[in-house]
Amino acid sequence: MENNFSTPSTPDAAHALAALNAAAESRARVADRITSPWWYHVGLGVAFALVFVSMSLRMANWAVGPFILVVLGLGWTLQRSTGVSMDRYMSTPGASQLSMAYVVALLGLAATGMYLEWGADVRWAIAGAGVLIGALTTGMGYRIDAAARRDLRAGL
Amino acid sequence: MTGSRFNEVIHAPNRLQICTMLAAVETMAFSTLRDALDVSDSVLSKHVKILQTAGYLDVTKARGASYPRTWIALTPDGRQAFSGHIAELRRIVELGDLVRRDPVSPGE
Repeated sequence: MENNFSTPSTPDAAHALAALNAAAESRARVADRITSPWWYHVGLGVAFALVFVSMSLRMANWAVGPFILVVLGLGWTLQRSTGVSMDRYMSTPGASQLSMAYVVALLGLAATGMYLEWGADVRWAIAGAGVLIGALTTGMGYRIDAAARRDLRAGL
Repeated sequence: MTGSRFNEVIHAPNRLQICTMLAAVETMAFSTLRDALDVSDSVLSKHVKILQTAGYLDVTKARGASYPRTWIALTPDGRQAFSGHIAELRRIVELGDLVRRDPVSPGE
């Protein structure tokens, strides 16, 4: 591969700038590779939705184990398929901010669903919240990926 | 805080790119790194070996279902050395900018 700088032992400003530009280009290439395949975010969304639906069906006891296995399996398969291992949710400032907002929204929806179903006796409220959480998980997953890519390209 | 320090081991073009890519992630597969750099296996192996000998890279071989996969990561020392090197390059660039903006006249 062509590189636009050589390696003198005492670099001048132009040489240092060329090296920094090459580093920025490399960061951009990594950013391109942290795009998760569609099945990762969709799979996570479906898994989250199903675990909440199982609460409405009073079947959460057996659903939690498979849910954890599915989440771990998706992460492992993602790592194998992209060849990159990283904490996508907390890797950069932009991704972290979105992840925090996601967690707050997820907890809010879950608490609302649980209150409605168990406190106000609204049947299927947790399942409804689960569907919203699934959609939120999928949508935010794409946005968090995009934020991580943007921050990496910007050198953050 | 990381002190800025020029690092000749890291500064070679391919090795600077390897460190930049690895600094952005936790680990990266050898094949992914090779494709991203657009170099041959032997070229990447040579640079990885140099960085590994310097204590900047961890190389692990994981047995997969069909074939073993090699994963590469920066060590804490490697991250520190890379950060210091980038900081030094930025310092050199800023120094050059200052000299261009405010050149010392011959009489001074």
